[in-house]
Amino acid sequence: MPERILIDTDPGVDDAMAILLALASPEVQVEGISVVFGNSGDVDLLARNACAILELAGRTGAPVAVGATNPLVRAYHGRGSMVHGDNALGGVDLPAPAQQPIDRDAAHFIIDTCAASPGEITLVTLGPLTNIGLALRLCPDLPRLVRRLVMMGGAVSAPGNVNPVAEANVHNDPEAARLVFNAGWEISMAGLDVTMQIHMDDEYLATIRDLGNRAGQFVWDITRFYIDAYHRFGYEDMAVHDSCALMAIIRPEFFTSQFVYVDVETTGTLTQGQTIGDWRRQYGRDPQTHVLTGVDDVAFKRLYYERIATLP
Amino acid sequence: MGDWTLANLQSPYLQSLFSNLQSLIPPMPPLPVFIDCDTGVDDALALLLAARSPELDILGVSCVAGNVPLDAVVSNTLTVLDAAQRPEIPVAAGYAAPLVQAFENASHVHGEDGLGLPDWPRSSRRPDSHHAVDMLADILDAAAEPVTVIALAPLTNLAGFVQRHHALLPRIGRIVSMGGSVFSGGNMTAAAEFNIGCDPEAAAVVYNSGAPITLYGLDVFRQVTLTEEEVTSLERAGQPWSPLLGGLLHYLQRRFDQAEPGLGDGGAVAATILPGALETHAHRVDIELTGTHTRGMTVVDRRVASKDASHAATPNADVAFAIDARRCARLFVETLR
Repeated sequence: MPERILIDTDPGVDDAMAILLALASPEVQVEGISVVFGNSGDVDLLARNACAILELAGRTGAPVAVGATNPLVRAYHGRGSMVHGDNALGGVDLPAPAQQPIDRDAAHFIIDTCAASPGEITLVTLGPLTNIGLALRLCPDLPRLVRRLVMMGGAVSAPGNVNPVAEANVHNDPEAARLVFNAGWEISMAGLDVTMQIHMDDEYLATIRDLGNRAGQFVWDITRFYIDAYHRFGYEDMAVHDSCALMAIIRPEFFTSQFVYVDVETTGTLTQGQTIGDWRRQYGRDPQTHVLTGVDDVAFKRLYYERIATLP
Repeated sequence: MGDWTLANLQSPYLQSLFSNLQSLIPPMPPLPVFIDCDTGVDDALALLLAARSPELDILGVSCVAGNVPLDAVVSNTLTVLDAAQRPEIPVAAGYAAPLVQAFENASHVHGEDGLGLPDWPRSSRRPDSHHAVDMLADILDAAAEPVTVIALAPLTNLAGFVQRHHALLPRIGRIVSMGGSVFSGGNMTAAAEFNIGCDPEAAAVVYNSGAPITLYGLDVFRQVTLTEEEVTSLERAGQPWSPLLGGLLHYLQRRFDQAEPGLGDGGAVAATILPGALETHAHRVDIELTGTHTRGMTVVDRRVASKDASHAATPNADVAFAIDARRCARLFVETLR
């Protein structure tokens, strides 16, 4: 039985790569996509990206719901385009999708989907945690309705990517992240501790382009702007953050993890959005987060290649 | 021609030849240092090592509230220097409380007395009549060359020095600061190490002072440990300080329920003496002063991308990421045996 997943995302170059991996993998069944601001502040654009990615993969069945345009408390800073380009897909125009978002906001869509199949749906979050935070405010029982939550976000021991210690998804809405980490569910966290260990360079991406299918060409095209941003920032290759969250479901044996209580800094001057691991049990709280700390980079990239090859 | 074997190497003739050759290499002049401490079990280990190290010229020792209240710190410091047969080293008392926040000690780690040895007879000596900050200023003013400050405590005294004697700051060659953490979390809170968390504002003053700093944090602090055999050899060495040293090490073994006690601050002194013992990288380090979870955290900017950002492009500390822990432990044993 495939694991039934609902993807909350701000697509986004690496989100698009992760959604393709999910759609190409028999281990998971995508029940729907909820969209949140993040890599762009224009959620309608991001929802259109989600619909277009589904069509590209030939999978138009999954509903797409539009969600939050702003963090719970703060203003959106709008810095996503530096890495993802103006349309969040590295400037690559996909054909206008026939599929339209559903007429239900993301928070309610998440609750409806989980309530319809209690204990069966896994939430996979690839963006700021605002939609999940809103859903938790509407339905505090949500943790009992879902199977588990797998997140791309945070950095417990690794350096941050928006300040010295914070990762962008958590930093984009620290209050929502704080709600999510303290909601009473177990979390698998694919943060920068593990995502920065996957290195995709142009040589590897060219092998995906040369698969000869439109998904492979799309992956090549959208990563042009994205990998250039990494080069500008001083990296030799690019990380594929969001695909780690999916791969952790598809192939958990590729990963190592540590179980620890994690909380979110919301008031620090230098540390806003930091995910703090309580390694020495100083908060007296039970661990709730499986922090992914290691990954088999070679096996990861081999399977990613094989899965993209199965798409149209 | 005889075999070139260990037996030859151990022959009295060759041994005297080697020692004659060694005597031709001029000894390094001792490094002038000033030690700021909150003695403290592991501060005591650090003081013993420093006081018995020919590689160091200890110009003075200042005391600050930290592991235990100031009076106990002063008394412990004098007691340890007595045991080390170095009563001539000037000792001064500094601040009794942090710059801004209320004082919170660490007697749960070091015992109410600070050495874990409440029955150990304390020194009858008194400290210098000057405040620690002024003693440091006088010493720097008189020093012929830059002085290395080994800071093993909350940075309250050094912040006071920066605030009151800023013109003398260039006389400090380097501050080796045991404090903070890069990726190991904290020991006072989940994010803050004790020496920084005890007085975050003072740490911020020091890190913003422009003085060259080596950050010796929990990442390396916890790695320097002694074997059980080394503990035994130190305890039985028959030196004037051996009974005190044995008592301190046994307290650590009991307190942390581990046969191989960590040297703590002692490792920072060893790493100051041994060139190349630390692997350091230059980074911008700032102190988080607010934060629900992170107040008192050393925020080390390790981002590759931050090379371009102007603030991060001005590193203010050499941050220790790795240590030759065995080499440091061996130096400790060889010096105090």
